Amino acid sequence: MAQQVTEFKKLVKRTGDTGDFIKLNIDACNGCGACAKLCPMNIWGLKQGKAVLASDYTARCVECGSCDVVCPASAITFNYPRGGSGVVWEHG
Amino acid sequence: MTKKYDVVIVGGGPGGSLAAKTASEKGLKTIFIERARKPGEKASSGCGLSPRVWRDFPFIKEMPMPSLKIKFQTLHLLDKELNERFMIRWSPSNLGKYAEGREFFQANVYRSELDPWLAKLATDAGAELQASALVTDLLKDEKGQVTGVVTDKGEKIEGAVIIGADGAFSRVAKCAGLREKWKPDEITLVVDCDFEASQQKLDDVIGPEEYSNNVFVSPLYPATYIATMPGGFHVGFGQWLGKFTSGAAKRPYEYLKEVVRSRPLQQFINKVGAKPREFHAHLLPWMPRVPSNTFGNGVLLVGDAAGFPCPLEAEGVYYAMLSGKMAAEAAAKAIAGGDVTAKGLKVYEDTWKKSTIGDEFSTAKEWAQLWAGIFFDPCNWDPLVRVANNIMFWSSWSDPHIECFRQELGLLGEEMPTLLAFVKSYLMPLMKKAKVPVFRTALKLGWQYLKAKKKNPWVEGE
Repeated sequence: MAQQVTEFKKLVKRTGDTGDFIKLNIDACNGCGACAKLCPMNIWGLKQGKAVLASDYTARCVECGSCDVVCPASAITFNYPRGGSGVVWEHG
Repeated sequence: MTKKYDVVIVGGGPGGSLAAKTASEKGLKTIFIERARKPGEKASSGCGLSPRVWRDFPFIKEMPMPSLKIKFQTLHLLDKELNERFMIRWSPSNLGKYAEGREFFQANVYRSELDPWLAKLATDAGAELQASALVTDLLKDEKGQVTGVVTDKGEKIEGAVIIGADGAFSRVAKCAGLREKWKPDEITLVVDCDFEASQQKLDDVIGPEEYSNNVFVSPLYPATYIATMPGGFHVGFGQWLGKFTSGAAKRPYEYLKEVVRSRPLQQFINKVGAKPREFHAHLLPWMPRVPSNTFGNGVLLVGDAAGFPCPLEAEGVYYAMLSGKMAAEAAAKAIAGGDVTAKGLKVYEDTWKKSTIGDEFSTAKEWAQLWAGIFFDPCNWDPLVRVANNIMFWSSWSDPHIECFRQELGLLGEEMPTLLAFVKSYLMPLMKKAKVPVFRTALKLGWQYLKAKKKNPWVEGE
């Protein structure tokens, strides 16, 4: 069971080409780390006092939008990926 | 070429579909726009339909997809070591005012099946559905009146009234200036894993008439639910963003792993031979206050986009359906009256405030505080688990019963400050809202006690 537990994050279907849909304004970022703490898919990190977005985020993001909502400096702009692409839930 | 409609709805979930169905039935030229390839593909929460859906939307009885009527609620209290110390289970009360309210707590259904069916009711009523289209902006005239939407393909779609049914992360709310961002105490993040299990095994182990929702509470993590579904179940929990990012909190995914690894969850998973199938995460508004800014010039917000999930237990689909219907009715009135500015659309807010939504939110602060203080704040839970676990110690066979009873009373005495603080913080505000005259009731009870006839003891000679 422990083996299965750590693979939860892989249990996400995706479709299409999402394009880039998250932007970080690094100058506005105050390094609080809230995005890194909150993101359920671990696509945000903190390096040298600034947020870092994983280069492969489009293949890992589950489109919750928490990073944008939680950022106190409004440094993160999340948009949904282009219509018809991205996460596909079959058992929501 | 710009397409023109009476009503343009952003979102193809339950709120959007009910708005589209209602608007079409009223003869309005209607389109609803969904960013997924089909409705339900990007809905990862809100599987519970309350009895109110049956009362207010009788067509739900025709739904062809399997659903599970939940006939028990079970609360499991776990201690710091995640051992179950106390469990309480109950069935619907006869106090329910209508048949469905007495029959079940909720019916669980997969959104990937519910949403397409609701959308079909809307298209059957004449609404146009445009899928795989993401609305990225609103069209506005020089006076700031919202007049339409723009999609990610650059398409412009005009409408007299725009309804934002686009969920917790609402582009419509933002572009219309109704909500720039949720406050950290207004919005939760919910992480959830769907497990598959054979229906036969679930029926055999739990029994087809015994399906229960299960909530596990412990001092270690926020209250976790198991929502049983046809052929599976969801395990998940949520927490306000403000609480997740506080120092002591762990990452949401770490909590989920711990929860699933805990013995009570493992026992359940192993009993029904379940396997994890799909991982979900989504924002869920959970407002400790009455929602505001749900309408503007040419625009209305419904469902999660308006902040309508219940402030006690976050039920959302029913409120989305109800507010979607109300929004379409308000749009029809405003269009007929020739005024689709905020003034003409205010009737929407007046209607939802007078409805069951307004009633629910009349106690938003008290319910949200109760949930936050107990189920969402693991630290408060420890003393309550201890009291519950020891409430039956008087019946223990380990010593004379009166000795056990004395010990139990001793513990209750020690925990009395905590219990009284609980009563003061959470119960008294609710009593006040329920308009219970506390002092007068206490006097009445005291008087009734004095007047109560002592029953003749069974034992002779006393």
